[in-house]
Amino acid sequence: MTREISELMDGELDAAEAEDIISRVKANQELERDWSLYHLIGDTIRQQAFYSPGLTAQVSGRLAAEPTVLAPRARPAREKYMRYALSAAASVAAVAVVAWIGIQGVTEAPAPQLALVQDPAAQARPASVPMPNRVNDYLLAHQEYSPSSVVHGVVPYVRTVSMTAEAGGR
Amino acid sequence: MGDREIDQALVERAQRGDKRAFEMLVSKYQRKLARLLSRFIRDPAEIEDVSQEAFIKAYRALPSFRGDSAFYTWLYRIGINTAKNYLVAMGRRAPTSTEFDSEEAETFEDAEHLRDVNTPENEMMSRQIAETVNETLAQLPEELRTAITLREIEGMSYEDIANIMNCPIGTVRSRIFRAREAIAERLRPLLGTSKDKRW
Repeated sequence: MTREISELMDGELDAAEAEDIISRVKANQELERDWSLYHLIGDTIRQQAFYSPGLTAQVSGRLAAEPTVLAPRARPAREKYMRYALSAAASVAAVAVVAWIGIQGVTEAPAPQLALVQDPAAQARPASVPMPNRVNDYLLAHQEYSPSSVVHGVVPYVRTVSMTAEAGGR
Repeated sequence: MGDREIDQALVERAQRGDKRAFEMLVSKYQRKLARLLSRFIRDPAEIEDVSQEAFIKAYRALPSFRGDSAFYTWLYRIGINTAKNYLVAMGRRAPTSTEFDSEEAETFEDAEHLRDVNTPENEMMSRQIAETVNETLAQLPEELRTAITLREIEGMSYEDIANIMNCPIGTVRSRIFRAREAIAERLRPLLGTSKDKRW
């Protein structure tokens, strides 16, 4: 275990391992002494030792009298950046999807087309209704009573004839 | 998980009510903080008092620590402010803000001055500790001494040390641990083994 403490203080463990070793050190006074001792060795090698044997114990005694701190968990900076990055990515993705749909609608999506089936039977043909000869005489005689129209020629008569023919059929 | 991340993990535990996690930070940084305070407080007993006060203030202020800076940089500022308040209360000149810049926090070194502010008893013990460490270090096999020196003085990663020493990282891990443990074995009798004794 002391080897893991050595690696922990050198920052050579991954996060899960480090959390595990921290938990073990906290739960075992002997390991906690090793943690302190290894730091003392490092400070001494760097000629920075300030020997104060009771300081940690004194601080611990005062901490015991302190109300326990309960703070909301700090959001690591990396997590903050990730949140902003994901928000930006989502926005960009949404814009891209909308733009893509728009472009597809304009340039790529074929306009709806009806199937063109050449069915001879279904082709429109001018109606050919045999008229009695006396119809022409009748039309000429009643020309002035036909619906007024700016269109001259036979068109008004065609309409009249059609209506008349339909009425006559019944 | 680097040094800063380890501190952050301990801080987050302390923020969730784990006082022992905060004590691990005290164990780790007490000498560094005392060294800082010794720059402008001469009396060793006062340094201890102000160190204690700074740690307690830091503990109380933990809810405001968001991890935007390194824990020690934050502790450094609290230490400086605690020392200023102490000196003002004692009617002595407090250091100006330019004397202690937070940017200096990570590189602060002042070992020579520190020797002058230990109490006679602690000074003697500090000397014995230093002698024991240095003697043991000198007696270590060359590869162990080099490995721990590169780590503790140069602050190099295991990977960099492995490249320099031309050996696998696993060997570096082993060498550094064996060096530490060899020194620790010599120090334990000197420091005693009482449960409440921590350094």
